[in-house]
Amino acid sequence: MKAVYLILILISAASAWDFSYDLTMDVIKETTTLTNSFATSNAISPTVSINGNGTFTAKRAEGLSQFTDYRSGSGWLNWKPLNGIEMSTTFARGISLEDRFGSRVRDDRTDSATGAIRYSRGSWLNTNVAVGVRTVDYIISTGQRNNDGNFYRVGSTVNKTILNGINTSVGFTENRAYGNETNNFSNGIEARMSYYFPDEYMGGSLSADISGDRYSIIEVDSLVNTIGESWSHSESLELPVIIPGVYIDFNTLWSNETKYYESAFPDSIQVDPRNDDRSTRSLNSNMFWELAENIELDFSFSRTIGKMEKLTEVYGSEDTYRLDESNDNKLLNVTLTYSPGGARIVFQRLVELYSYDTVIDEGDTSSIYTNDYDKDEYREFIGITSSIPLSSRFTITCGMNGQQRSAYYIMASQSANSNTSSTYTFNPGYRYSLGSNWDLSQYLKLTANYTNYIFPEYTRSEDRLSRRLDEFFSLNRVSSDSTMLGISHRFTLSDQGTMENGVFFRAEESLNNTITLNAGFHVSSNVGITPSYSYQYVTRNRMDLQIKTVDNLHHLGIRSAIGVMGGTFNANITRTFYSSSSRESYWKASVGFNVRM
Amino acid sequence: MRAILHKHIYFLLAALYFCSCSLFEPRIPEEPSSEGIVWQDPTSPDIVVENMQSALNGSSALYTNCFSESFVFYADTNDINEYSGEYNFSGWTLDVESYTVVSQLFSVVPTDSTVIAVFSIDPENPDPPAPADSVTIFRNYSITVPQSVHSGTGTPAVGTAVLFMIEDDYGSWTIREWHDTRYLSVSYVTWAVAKAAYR
Repeated sequence: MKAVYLILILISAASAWDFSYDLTMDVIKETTTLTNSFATSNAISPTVSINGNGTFTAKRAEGLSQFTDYRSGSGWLNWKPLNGIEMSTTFARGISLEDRFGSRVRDDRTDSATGAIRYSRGSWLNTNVAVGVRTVDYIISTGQRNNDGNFYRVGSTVNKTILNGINTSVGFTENRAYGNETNNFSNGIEARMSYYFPDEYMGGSLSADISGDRYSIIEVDSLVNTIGESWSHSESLELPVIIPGVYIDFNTLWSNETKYYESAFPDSIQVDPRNDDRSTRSLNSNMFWELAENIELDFSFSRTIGKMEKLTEVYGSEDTYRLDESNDNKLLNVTLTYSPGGARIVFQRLVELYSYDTVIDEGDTSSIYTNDYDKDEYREFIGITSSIPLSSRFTITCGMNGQQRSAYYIMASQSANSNTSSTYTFNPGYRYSLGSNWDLSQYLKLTANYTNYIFPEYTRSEDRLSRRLDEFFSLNRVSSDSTMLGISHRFTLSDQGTMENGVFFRAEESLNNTITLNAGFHVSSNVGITPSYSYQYVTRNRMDLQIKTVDNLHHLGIRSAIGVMGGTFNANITRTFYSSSSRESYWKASVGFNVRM
Repeated sequence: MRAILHKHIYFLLAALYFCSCSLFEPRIPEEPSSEGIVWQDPTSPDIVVENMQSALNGSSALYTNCFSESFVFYADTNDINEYSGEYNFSGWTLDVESYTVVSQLFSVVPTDSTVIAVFSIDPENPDPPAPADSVTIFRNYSITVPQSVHSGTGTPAVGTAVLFMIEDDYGSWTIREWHDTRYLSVSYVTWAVAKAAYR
């Protein structure tokens, strides 16, 4: 850490330096978060630069009686002795602390010193080699522990353009970290190619990527090592424009990950049969069609299939059982946009089906395992939204949509919970520009949701209906720096209950009414302040339990964005009071400051 | 423009037909062999806990509906320290919760047994009245999952769940964060350890 301070002192003493600083503080009810970060660099000469950065984050959660504290800092010296060669020395420190109920429960500290050489030849070769030492100290329930050691990292990438236009890239990495307790090793390789069709094809490209990784975690005092392997390949194709106005692209992904355990000693009889295999395949396609000057069709389809096989040991025995899971997600989204003049009308149709399947192989166990959670989740949406200017100042908006979501639990033991939820929304509104940055707007939103069970004779829950009305009105003048003057009103009325034999039995009704006054003004040309006051009236009546609550809330706020010292100071602070003295007031505040020099 | 529309109308019809083809046809569920669980609209934090208890006791996949998409489970740091190297508690998202509880823990329960979950209000931390938009509530819990590694019959998982909940624009509550707290004076494991054995 002293090295970091030394570097910072050197930086502050130097003349030509770049510096940035960010500060954010948020208070939401009982949780306070403070984040400070800085970054600085100084070019001592054309070949030597000195750099540093640091972050400090603290979070206090009163309800959890928790205080967490993260600190990290690093300083590094860069030297470019020859063209294409860069050498650096880095010192870094990280601290992570946590207190719960007044006691220290986490104290993790990591220090490292790294020397690195980077070699770049033209644009086709990049090589990195780094070696270093580190100390890792942490506490567990039995006391202080450490995992000190050394490490090295090697990586190289070769880029080459072949066959007159195909860009290729091949790279590898090798990382080794040795410690008193744990050794972490990893290797990776990756190859990429891309090709852009000649200009006469009017667009079009092809790219492919294949990669493989292997890692191992070796606990020094363990007889079993953890091994992980993964590989993936992806391809993307953007078709040339064959039909004018039609743009089509596809991309695919195949990936596979496996995790297993192997004996730390080749002649050991210690075995751990557990494994975890996961694979993913996906296909995404999109077609964008300019049907006419003001009509566009966007048609996209995607499908993702995932599989997982996991072998688990039965506790207290050497028996195992295997759970195979698979999921299949299909999504089709069609959007048709019509834009005559300044108007915009969008029609959308969406269908999605998510299927989940499981199979259990009990192997040679004497126990019986069941997994009855096969399910299908189906979603269907159809809607239209419009924004139509009747004059240069007056615009009407309207939206209508219907959505159906169904959850089908396939197996007999769970299928009684299968249900369908239908939601319908109607949303008209308007905007009117009064001039001089004054805007008038209002919208209404009506929503109804009905949930019914597919096997009503087997369910202990009733079919449910909820209804909701939202209204919003705003008359405000908003300056370019967000200073606001005016009034707004938000009103929500909702109820819900059960449906029995076609009769609606209301169980709950709630009302939320908020009126807000913004009194923004400018102290100077670049300092705007917006004090605000909101009165909120909230009632909730649970008729089924005969419980009714009424709250009167007063929100006092102030927000501003001020340019100071070459940076910007942002503040948005609200204090909420209840009319009832038995309710505790609370803060919602966000204060930020950033500067770049 | 009419001519252009006529030219492409077949494509539009094909696209709309594709939306409703059998590729998107869901499977038909089997006739139920048992009753469903009791599920209420989660219009308050206490109803979320009631739904969660009901879903656990019925070994129902609706358990995951009690959590928000951005859900994170935080194990007690004492558990993290004590079981370091044995279990992985980090990055415990909704996917991990669904896999460990629904796919794994529920699977080990014999067909003639049931999960027994009880959540009770922590007397030292009663619920705040009529919370708005977000709230932190405390629940002492006892969860028995027969035939499971750590929380089988007679050795329930116990502890205090500190639940940070959020309310969406439609007044529905979900659990965004579960901070698990263990009883230092009890030898039973927490829900975190009970689940982590199956991760």
